Amino acid sequence: MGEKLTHAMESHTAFEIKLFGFTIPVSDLVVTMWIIMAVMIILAIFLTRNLSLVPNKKQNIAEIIVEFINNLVKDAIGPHHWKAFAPYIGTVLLFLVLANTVSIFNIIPGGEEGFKLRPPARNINVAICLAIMSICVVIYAGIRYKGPGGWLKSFVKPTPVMLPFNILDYVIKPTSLALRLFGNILGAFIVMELIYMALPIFAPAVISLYFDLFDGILQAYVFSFLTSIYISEALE
Amino acid sequence: MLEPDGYTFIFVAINLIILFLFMKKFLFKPITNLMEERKNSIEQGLKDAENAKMEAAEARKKYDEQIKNIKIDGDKLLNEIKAKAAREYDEIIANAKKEALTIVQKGHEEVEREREEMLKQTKQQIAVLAIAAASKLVQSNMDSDTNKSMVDKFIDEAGAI
Repeated sequence: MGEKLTHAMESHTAFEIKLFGFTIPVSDLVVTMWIIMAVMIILAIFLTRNLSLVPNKKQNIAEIIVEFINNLVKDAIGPHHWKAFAPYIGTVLLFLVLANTVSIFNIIPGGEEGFKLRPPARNINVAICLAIMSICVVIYAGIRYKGPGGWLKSFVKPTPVMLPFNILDYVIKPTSLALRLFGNILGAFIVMELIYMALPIFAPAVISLYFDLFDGILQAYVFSFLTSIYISEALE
Repeated sequence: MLEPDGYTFIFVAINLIILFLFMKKFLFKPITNLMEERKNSIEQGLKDAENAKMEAAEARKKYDEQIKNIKIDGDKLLNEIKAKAAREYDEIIANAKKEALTIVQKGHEEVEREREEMLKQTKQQIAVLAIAAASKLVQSNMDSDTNKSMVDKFIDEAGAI
């Protein structure tokens, strides 16, 4: 049982790319991510085809999603600069919503050895990468709207004594983002794996609703909401 | 799970950037622009409607004023015409009266003149008759002074008629 659990938790090399003499291993995390990306891009293109001022059904769905994200970002960042950051935060939110709930879409038949859709954020590298990208956007926001000088000055505000803490801020923020996402997703994933091993196949539906859907969507929301809060702090 | 994996890290970063560009181009930008455009067009429509309403009210006010002016002008014109008609009426009546008076006077004069003429003729005839009667009287009884005075008196009386 322990071995099976470890197998599910670990990432595996799905295939390898040979390029200029280098061998680049592509893990199943990346393949899962590519699948999610393909779904998102195809959906986006499909939903926004034939846009018109009088919306149709498809367009309504896209508008509800975009308006929800725009309002979320507007509330956090304020009415002036939200437009520059809504696409990125929205992309992260939509990606994480799909990525964290991807295990309920496991329709590919196959045994334990076959390829299974598992949330990519259960691997610390993915979580850290997302968090570092977020903090890069925060730094970009600070430099873009305060100027490089103004951004550097913000490190010694309100007093120069705060300098080490302000620097530490840029380490703590991505770390907390990454570890919160990683811990929650991995925890929920392990719980679900254990439940699938212990209970018959139809019993865990309610539990899956919480651990796969609710927790995954909540973590996606928290991640993007915190990112927008950090951006608004950088813009102050 | 926990081991650092540079390849995965780089792949995720690249994937995220690509995904961001795609989503921005295909989902966020067009929809946000569209919603803003729609908002603007609705606002424009409301403003246009408001303007049209105001214009209509203004035009209505202008027309009301014009109608009032026309009424006033009409009343004035009517009064003038009435006054003119009354004046003309009076004039015509006065002329008619004057003419009637003239005609009546002329009639009077005519009557007077005819009467005088008749009188004259009558006088003449009476004189002739008197003379005839007198001559007859004279032939029979023309000697007395009494008769002579009688004849004179008769003639005088006849002339006095």
